[in-house]
Amino acid sequence: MSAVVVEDLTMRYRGHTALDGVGLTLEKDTIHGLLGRNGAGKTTLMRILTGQEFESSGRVEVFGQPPRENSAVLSRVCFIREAQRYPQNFKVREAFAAAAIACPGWDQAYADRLVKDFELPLKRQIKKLSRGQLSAVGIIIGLAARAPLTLFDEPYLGLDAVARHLFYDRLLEDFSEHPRTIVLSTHLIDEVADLVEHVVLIDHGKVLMDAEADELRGRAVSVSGPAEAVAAYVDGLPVLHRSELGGRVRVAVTRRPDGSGQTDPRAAGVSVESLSLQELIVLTTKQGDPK
Amino acid sequence: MTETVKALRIQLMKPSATFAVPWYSIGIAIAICTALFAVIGGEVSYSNRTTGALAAFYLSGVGVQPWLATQLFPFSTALSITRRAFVRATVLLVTAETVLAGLGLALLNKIEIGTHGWFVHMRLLNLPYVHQDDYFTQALVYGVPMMALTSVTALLGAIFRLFGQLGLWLFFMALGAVSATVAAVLVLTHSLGHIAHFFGRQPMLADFALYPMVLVVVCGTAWAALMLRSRV
Repeated sequence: MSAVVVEDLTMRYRGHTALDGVGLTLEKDTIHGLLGRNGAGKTTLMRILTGQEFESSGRVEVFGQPPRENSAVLSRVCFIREAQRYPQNFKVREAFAAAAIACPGWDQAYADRLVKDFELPLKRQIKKLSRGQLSAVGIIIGLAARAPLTLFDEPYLGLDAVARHLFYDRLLEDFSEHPRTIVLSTHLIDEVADLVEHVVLIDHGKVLMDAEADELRGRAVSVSGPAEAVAAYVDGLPVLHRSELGGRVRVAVTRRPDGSGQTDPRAAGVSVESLSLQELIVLTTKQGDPK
Repeated sequence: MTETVKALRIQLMKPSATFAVPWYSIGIAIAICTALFAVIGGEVSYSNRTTGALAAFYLSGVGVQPWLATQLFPFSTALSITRRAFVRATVLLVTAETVLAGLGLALLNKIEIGTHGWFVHMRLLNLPYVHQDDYFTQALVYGVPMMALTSVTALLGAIFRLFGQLGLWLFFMALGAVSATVAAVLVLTHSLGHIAHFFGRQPMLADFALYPMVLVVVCGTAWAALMLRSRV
C-alpha cells in the first residue's frame, strides 16, 4: 500500500485554482522532493494531505484512508510548515513537550540530541527566538516525532548553510535507521538533489514531473557547439531550452529513454554535459509557462 | 477520546495562561481592597463599602479563548490533533474552568461572610444583587456568567481565526445594526418597559444562570461550527 494516493485533486478558492486535477502516488519509506515555484500549489497539496485544508473535488488517501478529521491517519502524520505558528508564550521545551504528547513515535533522547546539535535554548520563549531558531524548533519536532508520514514545507527559513546541512545529515541518518515516508518541499533543489529519491514537480496547480530522482539525473543534457553540428546532434530530441551566442549554440534536450540514436559527441563536433536536477526543474517549469 | 485527552493536555501546558489569571486577579483585588478599606478605617459607612472588583475576575480571562483559537489551535493541528478533538478538549476545559470559578468564588464568598468582609467590613463577593443562601446555587450564579463570557470570547476568537479583522469588524457592525433595530422596534411599540419589567420579575437564578446559559448554547454552537470548518 502506498503512503499517499491522490486522484484528480482540485482545490479552488475565491476564483483561484490552486490545484488542478492533480494525481500522484507517494510510496512508503521514501524521501520525496516536492518541488515548484512559489504559489505552485505545493503547500496547498500538503495542507490537504494533512487534513488542514479541504479539497474542492478529487480523491485523497493517506495510508489508505481519507485524512480529513481522521485521527487514525493524522496520528501518523506530522506537518512542519514554513511559517509554522507556535504559541508565543510557550518556552521551547514546552513546544517539545506538546509534541511528545501528540506524537506517538516521539523520541525524547533524539530530540535532546538535536537540541544540542542546533544549540537551541530550551528555556527561551518562542517569541524571543530568531527566525533560524524557530525553523530549528520545527525541524526537531519533525524529526523526533518519527511520524510514518512527515512533511516539511520549506523548513529551513533563516537557517544558515551549516545548519541546513546539519538538517540534511540528520534527516538522512535518521531515515536510514528509521525508514519512513518524508515529503520535503523546497526551493533549494541543488541542496536536496542527492537526498530525494522521488521528485514531484508542481506548477500552476498541475503535476509537471513525477519520476524517480535517479531517472531524472540522467534524463537531460546540454549540447553545445557550432549551430549546425548541434542541430544535427539533437535532431528529433525534445528541446527544453535553446540559447545562442555568436556562432555557438547551447541546447538543453531530453535524452531518449533507451539512449538510442546517439552518436559520439566528439565525432559530431559538440560537447555534451548532464544537466543538474535544478537545471532540469527550472527548464521544465519554464517550458510550461504560457508563451 | 484519547485524541481529546491529548488536545486537553496540550491546552493545559500553560495553566498560568488558561486557568490561573482570573485567580491572580481576584487575589490581587482582595488584597488591594482590603488594604484600602483598612487605611480608610470606619470613615465610610457599610453601605458604601461595596466594590466592583469582582469584575476583575471575569474580565481578566477574556484573552484565553482568542489565544487558544489563534495560537494553540494551529500548533495543535500541526501536531495532527483533529479539529474535533480540539473542540471537545476546549469544551472540557471551559466546563472545568466554570466549575472551578463557581465553587471557588462561592468558597471565597463564604470566607468573606465568615470574616466580616475580610476583617474590614468590605463587600467584594457578597454583593446584594447576587447573594444566594445555598452554596451550590451561589456557585451557579458566579460560574455560569463566567462560562457565558468565555463562550462569547471564544466565538470572537473563532471569527477572527476564520475571517480576520475584517470579519470581526463586520460581525460587530452587524450586531450593532441588529441591536439598534431591536431597540428601535421596542421603543416604537412601547415594549421596552414590558421587557424591563419581565427581567426585573425573574428570579435571580434565571438572570445569572438560565439566560447566560442560553448565551452559552448559542455562542458555543456557533464557535464549534466555525472551528470545525476552520482552515489552518
